[in-house]
Amino acid sequence: MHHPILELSGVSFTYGNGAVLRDVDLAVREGGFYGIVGPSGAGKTTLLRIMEGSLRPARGTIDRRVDGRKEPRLAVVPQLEAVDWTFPITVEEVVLLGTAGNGRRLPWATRGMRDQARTVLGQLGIGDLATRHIRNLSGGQQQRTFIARALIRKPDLLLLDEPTSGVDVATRHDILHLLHELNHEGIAIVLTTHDLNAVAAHIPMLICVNGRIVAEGTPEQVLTTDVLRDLYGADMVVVNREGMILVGDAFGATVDPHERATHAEGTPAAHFGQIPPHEHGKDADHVHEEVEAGP
Amino acid sequence: MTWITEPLTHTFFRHGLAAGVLGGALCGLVGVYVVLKHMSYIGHGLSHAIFGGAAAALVLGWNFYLGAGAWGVLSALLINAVSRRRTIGADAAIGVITTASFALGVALISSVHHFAINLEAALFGNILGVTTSQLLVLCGVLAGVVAVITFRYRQLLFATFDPEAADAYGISSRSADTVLALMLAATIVSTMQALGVTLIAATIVIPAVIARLITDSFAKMLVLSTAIGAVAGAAGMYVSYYVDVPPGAAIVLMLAGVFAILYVVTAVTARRRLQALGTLDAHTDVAGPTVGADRA
Repeated sequence: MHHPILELSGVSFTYGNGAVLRDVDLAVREGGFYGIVGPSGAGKTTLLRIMEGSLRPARGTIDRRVDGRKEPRLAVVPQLEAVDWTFPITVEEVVLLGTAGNGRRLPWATRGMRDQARTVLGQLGIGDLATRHIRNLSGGQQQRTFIARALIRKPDLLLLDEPTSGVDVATRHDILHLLHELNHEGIAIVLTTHDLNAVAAHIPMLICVNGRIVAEGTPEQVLTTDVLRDLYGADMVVVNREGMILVGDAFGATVDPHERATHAEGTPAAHFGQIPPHEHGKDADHVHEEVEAGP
Repeated sequence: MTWITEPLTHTFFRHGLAAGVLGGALCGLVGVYVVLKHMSYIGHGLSHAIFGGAAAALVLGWNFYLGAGAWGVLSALLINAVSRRRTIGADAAIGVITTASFALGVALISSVHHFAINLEAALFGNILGVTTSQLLVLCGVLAGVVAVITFRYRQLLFATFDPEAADAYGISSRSADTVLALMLAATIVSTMQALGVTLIAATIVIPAVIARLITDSFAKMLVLSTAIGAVAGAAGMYVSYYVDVPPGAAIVLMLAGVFAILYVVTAVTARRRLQALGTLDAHTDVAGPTVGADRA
């Protein structure tokens, strides 16, 4: 078992009107991959920002030197919606910001730093976009730019706020695949998501948050009707088929009304609308067929 | 060329020109951060808040820079702290702090009748009455701000662009905000007597906005905004000399004019580019790539 690199003990937080988080105990382990899920306003982003150190808890402690070990190097990837895309900055300049905390006083980057930035951009497949303004990128390229900024810092722990929000299905697939690759290289990853089917179900460990930790475990352990009822306060249907987990609300609200009418009531297809592709390359139609063929 | 050299034979003009160039450059430089951090309203409010300190210094017989400077630093830190709170709107809280401070300044100066002339100078500036010591202060503040921006360039850039993530990358967004607020306060205090409370905000904001219209590079924006502020300061002085308009007003009107022209030119250029792309798409019958195309 990998040892913890970040521990939260009895953490509570408030913005002034009631507690957003209450008595959160959590450990992030070396090389772990965690997804924080929960309804809107549950405190997912707040929990992430407490981990990154930009918010201080009202109560409780954060230990970044667990058992006296070296403090993990953090890197943060913001939500795309939170970025000022009109800011006058190029892709390479964004990436080089990842080195701004290294103590160098002079304003310009060294040749070595520039080479490093180009290398990271090349690894992420956007090496030819270095001089482009960040506004002139697609959503996937924008996300990769900020991941590159994080990687140039050589992080032990990567924190991402809704990394698949606002991107299309193919880009979401690419980003998840990239994050799995980075995790296999040893980087611990924590991300927030509200997408249970397309994102959360593909993450090894889930932390269910709704003002407190409701449940913690693998998707198989926590994506259950009982936990989801506790988490969202609503009845949800969960289908686990050959290791693939699908979640839908009990009223089939996520289903296109026209499409829902074509399925017999009570079948899984009646509960699941647009089925996302599997992380390892199954396309949406293929997955949909499997569900329709279910009992 | 005599139209350039003739005004320089007057000491008041040479001092005014130096104040215009130095003050314009300083405001233009600091203005880049003010504009990009969407702090224009804070810049405007802070100049009014510092007026209270300047008035108190005048009435109580303190050194101007001591009174206005201490008041400015306190106001900047208070505004900075209030801006970080979420319980009340930051704009409302800043409005209360700055206008109350401004009103205090007006009340203090009005209570002593022979200071009425100073009230007008503080409000609208008296660039032609700038002294050598005031020029030295301007030089000192400009040198200090250039040094801070040079040696904290990357940290300030990060904290301006992405303050939420800065702390995780080892950069204190709080200290960066404090440094920016102090630079802004020092800029306003050192240029207040030359440009006046009511015009400082414009000289801070407009050069940066013009520079932003010209470039997509942060480093170039810093250089351009500084140069635009300095050139406008010099040009405003000459316009004032020949057209008989107050120098502060001439500087701001010139900047506003340049901004208006550039805004129209860039808008027309962008429209033409879009039309060209549309024509291309129509001819090739291909949906060309658009900015952020795969974003929902």
